[in-house]
Amino acid sequence: MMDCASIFSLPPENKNRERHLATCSACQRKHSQYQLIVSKIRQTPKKKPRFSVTDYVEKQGLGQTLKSRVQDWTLQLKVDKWSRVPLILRTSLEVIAISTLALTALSAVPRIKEYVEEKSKQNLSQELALIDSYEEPSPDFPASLFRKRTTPEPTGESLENAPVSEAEELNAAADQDEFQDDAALAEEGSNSDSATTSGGASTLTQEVWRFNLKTGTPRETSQEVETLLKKQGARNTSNPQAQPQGLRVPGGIQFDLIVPSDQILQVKNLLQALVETDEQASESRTNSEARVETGRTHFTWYRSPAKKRIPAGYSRVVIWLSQI
Amino acid sequence: MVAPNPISSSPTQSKSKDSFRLQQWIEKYADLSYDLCESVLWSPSTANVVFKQTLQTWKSLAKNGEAFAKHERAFVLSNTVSILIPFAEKHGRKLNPSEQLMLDANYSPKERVDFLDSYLHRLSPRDQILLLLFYRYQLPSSEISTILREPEKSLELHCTQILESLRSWIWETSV
Repeated sequence: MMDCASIFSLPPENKNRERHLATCSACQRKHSQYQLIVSKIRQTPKKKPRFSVTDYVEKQGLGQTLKSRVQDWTLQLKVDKWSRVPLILRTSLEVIAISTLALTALSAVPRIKEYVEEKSKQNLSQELALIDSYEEPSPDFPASLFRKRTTPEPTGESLENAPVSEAEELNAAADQDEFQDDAALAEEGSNSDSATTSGGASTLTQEVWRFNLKTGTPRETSQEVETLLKKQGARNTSNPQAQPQGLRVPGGIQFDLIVPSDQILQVKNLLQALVETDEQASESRTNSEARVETGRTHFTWYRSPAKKRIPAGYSRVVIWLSQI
Repeated sequence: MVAPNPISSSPTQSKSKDSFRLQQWIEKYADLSYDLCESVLWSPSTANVVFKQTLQTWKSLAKNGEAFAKHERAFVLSNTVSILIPFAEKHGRKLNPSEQLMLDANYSPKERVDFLDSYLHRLSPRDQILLLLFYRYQLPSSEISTILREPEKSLELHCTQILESLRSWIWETSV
């Protein structure tokens, strides 16, 4: 006889269990109750997700879309087809394809190089033709040819009161060019006779003359230079209509002018004479003192080819009156 | 005809295989898995959370799915159960005292059987899953033992004990 406690741990098809259930009413009752519970568990309706699982999966990228599956399948088919080609044929075709590509690339390099060189030559010849076809501007000083100043032209009075920084601003661009010119001049200074302290000078068509005057009274000297230049028909480079005027900058006064080429030598001689008279005056004033500047001259001049365009028949003159 | 070598297959091919396997799993076991989640958690919203998490893990499992092809259902469901049990223990809905009182207040066992769902939720999540797998989905005990990682014999005994406790709640405590 089986124990009631262990009867339900036996599998349902066990004969001992069936026999016991047939005889024991308590176990039969229990069994029917179990069956009721189990049937109730089985009867409960099955729940389904309230969202589309396939949509969710596609949205989250967990699986593949139908399109991508088809694409993968076609790719697989292509790969399979190629892998089915006999090995000798396949490898030989691959080698031929790779070598053809390499040869094409190698042969293309010199051709590209030639093409680029030819193109650059063409461009150069076009530029040279453009330079040759350039016409000289008319000598009647069209104002548009010259650099326009945004600030008003400084007068004599404003020149004295003008702050140094403003003067620097006005002259910054011109100075830059001049320093470049000076550097070029220093290079050729050793073997050319253009940089001298005295002697004759021959005029060039496009040239810049620089006169450096050292004086103890630059302001007074500048007035003398202005009157001298007016007589010689000099004009300001920035404003050809205005009278020649010096620009006060730290360390002295600067004139940037355009002078008729035939007047240059005369201007030079006059400036030199001006400095000599100034020197004599200062010597007489300081007779007792030993002259510090002995052996040095107070007048130097340079001539160099102009980088900027100057009207025909004129030369650019830069006079620098520096404080001793 | 030479069988395709899985080792020599390209990454795109293996990727497509994985995703195809995932699609198959979803078609076969998504409903079963969701039903299990909602039956245990007793709430569609929390069931959604667990089910979506399960789908995410299926993706990573699909890579190794080939090795478990013979025991696919057990493999997939064991993953679901491993997520579901800790979640249900932490966030699963439990009967509050008033609901328990209300259950016990029902006089006849027939009425109590109608509230079997509530009695089921007095059980631990693991016991609920065992009952569901055994009687609702009628999975073989070998698969259930794989899913719950318990020997078959002890599972059967465990199942009988759970039924006995349910029976006692319904029939023996009645007034």
